[in-house]
Amino acid sequence: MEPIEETVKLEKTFEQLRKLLLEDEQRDHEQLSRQVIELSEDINTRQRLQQKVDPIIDDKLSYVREHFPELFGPVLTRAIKRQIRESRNEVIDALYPIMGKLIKKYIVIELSTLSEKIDQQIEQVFSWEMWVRRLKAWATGQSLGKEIIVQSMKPTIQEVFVIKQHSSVLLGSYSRQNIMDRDMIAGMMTALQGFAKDAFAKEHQDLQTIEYETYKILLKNFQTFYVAVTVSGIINEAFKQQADDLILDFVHKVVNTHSAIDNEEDYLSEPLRQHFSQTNP
Amino acid sequence: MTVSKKVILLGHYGVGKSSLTRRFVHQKFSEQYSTTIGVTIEKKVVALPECEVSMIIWDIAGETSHQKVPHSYKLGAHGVIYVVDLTRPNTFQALGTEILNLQKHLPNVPILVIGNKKDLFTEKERTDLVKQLPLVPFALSSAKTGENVDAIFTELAKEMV
Repeated sequence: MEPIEETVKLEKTFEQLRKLLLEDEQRDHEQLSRQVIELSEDINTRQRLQQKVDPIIDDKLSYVREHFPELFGPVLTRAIKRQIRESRNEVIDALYPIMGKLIKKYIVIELSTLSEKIDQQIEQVFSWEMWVRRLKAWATGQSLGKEIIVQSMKPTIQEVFVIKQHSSVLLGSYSRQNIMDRDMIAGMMTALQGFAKDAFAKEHQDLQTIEYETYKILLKNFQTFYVAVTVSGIINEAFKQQADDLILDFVHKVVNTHSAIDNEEDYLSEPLRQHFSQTNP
Repeated sequence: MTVSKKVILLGHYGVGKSSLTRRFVHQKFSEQYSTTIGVTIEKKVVALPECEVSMIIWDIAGETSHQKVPHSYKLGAHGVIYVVDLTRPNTFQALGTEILNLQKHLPNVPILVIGNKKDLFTEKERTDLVKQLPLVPFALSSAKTGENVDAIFTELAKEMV
């Protein structure tokens, strides 16, 4: 055989052998190449990439939307707190005009209300009551102006509650306005009284007043119940005495004549209304 | 006729007193834990065949022993719900002594012992767990699912009138 022929024959044999041995690898290689081309097209073609990625992004976004407070709340709060601490002056500058306006508006409203009341008082300048006031002011040495202002902010009893000690059961209530659940108010006031007693460990001393904004709650304790009176306006000693007398009078005339204190609830509401709506100091 | 009754909830912190109250009064539950400071007052009227019971619920801040709870909060109570957390043995280890002590403070007042968070156990685990408790609880409850919550408060209402 010629050497060239022999070489060709050898090459053919080798090629056949190569095909036989590497057929699987060849197929895998071709499949891999196809996949790489497809992947490359997926990545480089915007529309196809969007189809694949959009659902994942949507899922993540809706998760973040739903859990935003837990995920970012603490970080944001810390950042805001730090920012406020570090830029206190800027915060004050930003808030000052808003707060200033609010305070100004409040003062203007309050002054105009007061001014209206004073106008009404001055209109009565020639009335018999005004002459009595003039005489009173002259006798006590107090200015008539001060007397007029005090009269304008006259204290008024807004609500009265009679509450059983400890259990907070409401025995009766009277109110000039619609208020939130009376049982819950009675409960909270009893808890406050109890807290004050326990916290300051003074068994024979009682909480006597609670103040909030322009309201004051006067508390009067008895053996099995206590009376809470909510008052608006400026309270002076004379009013306190008057309210005290009114409560004692009610207890003496109404509560002590009922023997049902342990069995009935809310039985004092009607007597309270009668007593306090007619004799409100 | 409506009668008002003071109900107090006692037990360690985190056992689910506020969650039980919220579930009973507002039919709500939250996974987020917030500590009760002092006391929170809630109210719900329970209708019984003979009368209506206005339950003034004092949800008192959790303490490891009821003796640490301000005395005035317990005074005048008509009924007690003592809650333990089934997942935390330290909340019921001293249960026997606690209840005995409480009965001395509040004689003739119904006390219901409740094992809360029952939803975290299988039936078999629950049976084993009840055997470990120093006292047999009145009921096992879940503020999360609402299971037995209404029944517990209604039973207490019945026992108070």
